[in-house]
Amino acid sequence: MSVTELATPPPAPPEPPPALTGRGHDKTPREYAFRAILLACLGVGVVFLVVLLAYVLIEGWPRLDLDLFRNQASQLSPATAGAQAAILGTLWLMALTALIILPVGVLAAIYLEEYGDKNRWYNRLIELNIQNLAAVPSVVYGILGLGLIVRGPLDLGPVLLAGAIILALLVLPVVIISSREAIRAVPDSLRDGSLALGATRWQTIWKTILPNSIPGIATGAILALSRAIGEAAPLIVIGVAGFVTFNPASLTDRFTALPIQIYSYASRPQEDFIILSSALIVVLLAVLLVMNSAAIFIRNKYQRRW
Amino acid sequence: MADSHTMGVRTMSESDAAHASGTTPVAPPRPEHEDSPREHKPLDPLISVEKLNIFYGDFHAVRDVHMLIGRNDITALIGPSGCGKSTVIRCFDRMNDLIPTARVEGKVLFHGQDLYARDVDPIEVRRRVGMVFQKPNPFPKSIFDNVAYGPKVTGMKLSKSAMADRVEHALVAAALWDEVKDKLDQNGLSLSGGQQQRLCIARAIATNPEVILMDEPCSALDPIATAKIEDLMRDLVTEFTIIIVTHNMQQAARVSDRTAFFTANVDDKGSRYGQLVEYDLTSKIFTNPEDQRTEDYISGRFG
Repeated sequence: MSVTELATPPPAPPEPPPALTGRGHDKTPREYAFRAILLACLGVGVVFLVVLLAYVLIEGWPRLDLDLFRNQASQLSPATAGAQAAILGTLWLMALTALIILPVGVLAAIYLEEYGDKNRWYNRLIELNIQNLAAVPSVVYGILGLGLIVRGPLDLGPVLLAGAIILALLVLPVVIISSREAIRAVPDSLRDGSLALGATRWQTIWKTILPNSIPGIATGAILALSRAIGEAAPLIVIGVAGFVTFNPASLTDRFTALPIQIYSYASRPQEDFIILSSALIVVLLAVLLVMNSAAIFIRNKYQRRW
Repeated sequence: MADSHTMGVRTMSESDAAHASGTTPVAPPRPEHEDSPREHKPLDPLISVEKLNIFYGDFHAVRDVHMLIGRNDITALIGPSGCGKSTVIRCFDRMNDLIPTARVEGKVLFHGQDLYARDVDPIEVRRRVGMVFQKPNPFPKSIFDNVAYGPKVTGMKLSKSAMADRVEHALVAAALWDEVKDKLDQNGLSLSGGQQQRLCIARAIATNPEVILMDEPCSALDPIATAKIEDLMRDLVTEFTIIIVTHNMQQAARVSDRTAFFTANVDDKGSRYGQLVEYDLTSKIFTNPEDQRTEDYISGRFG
């Protein structure tokens, strides 16, 4: 044995590899309990919704027929009464509301996103107020509409146009906010690309930003409309009648809408009217479902990755 | 005006003079270009930058840049991150205007006209000076519409066939035509990254600019796509003046005629700012720089 070999200490025994086995940190009672609570919270929402839907569907089933669409409301013959005027009134309201909120909401959003200098106090104030307006209860819009539109300066009376303006005011903040998000989601690289080619701001917005934000804008507008479609409070406040047996034919006709018709039928004592109102609820929910599906469809179809 | 030019680019004029007087030229960095005449071409000024200072709010980002940019040259701006080279290139088409807090002092003379004069329309500037960005940013439109976008927005009233010709010409010039001629109606985003970047170059060419700015055009591309773009730049420079920002020193050495080296300094108040250190023929910068900081940077001792 040489001297160097003697001087070298014997090699240390190899360390055992780190243990990777175990009972599972993810399988403690705490972890299970936490997951159970999460599931329970989810359950509360889903179970109530399912029960509600099932109840309305079962309750309204006997009257889910074409008479709903064919016949007008009736106080005398609930077995065949329909709600043609209310269904048409709701469709009119939706169309008019959409006509108001789309241009106004999108243009307001374009101003705030593309032109408004976010460092200016008045733009920040507007922004803050739009957020607040989105949270104002609908009945307040009803009172505002009653004072300014139905009576007061505009003095339109409780007609379709008045109802549509009020519903439009109610959902406009939501449309503006969702349109802004859609516009903001268009990447700056596209903006820069367009401007660098010598496009004006208007050309950039019109040819690049809007076409790429339309899916988001449409989704937001549809969801806003589906909120408006279910609103009864502002319409009741402005004095929309619960019992109308003629179809609206122009903007200045008096009208009724599905939520009000449902409310009116549901508040009658006879069983047949209760069934009728359940059937109308199913109709309203079906329309809502269709609109929300359309929104989801549009969103998924045009989803882009840049 | 002539005086301030010479002052601003003293090193440049000296080395130009050296070449003119027949001093041994420095070996070009790429052997296949050894006999390339670009190394000897005298500078024919198209853009003159005089005492350029750029601020973001209170932050003085770039200080006292003087430089002359030659017509039909590829001018590379190199330097470490934060040295202000991207900020400087965005002055040439007034893209800095889009940053609300940005402020530019000094002059950027293009054909002797100050781009920052009060009566200059930035949109008109951008129609004469095109730009290609770091990340390919084709519009989510067809390949054809991507290229036709510029001519349309700049108000060129072209017939259908004239527009088709222009689109074809731009795609040919961008060396993309053969790859896309059968699928012009496909979405520009369906192309590969390198093709997308060449589409963006075609898009810029289609408006007939004099200058094309390229802000790190290859940093998102693989080496093969990068090589294609570099070859393309050498082709394009016969028609256009190209200014390129690049992080890649080999790229600057390979493609550019002249190179400006910027660095990030810290002033006595601790604030970082960008500064032009040295500007000269690329061959000179990469083989025999005057400034120690340039030497350190190109030899990899810094940044």
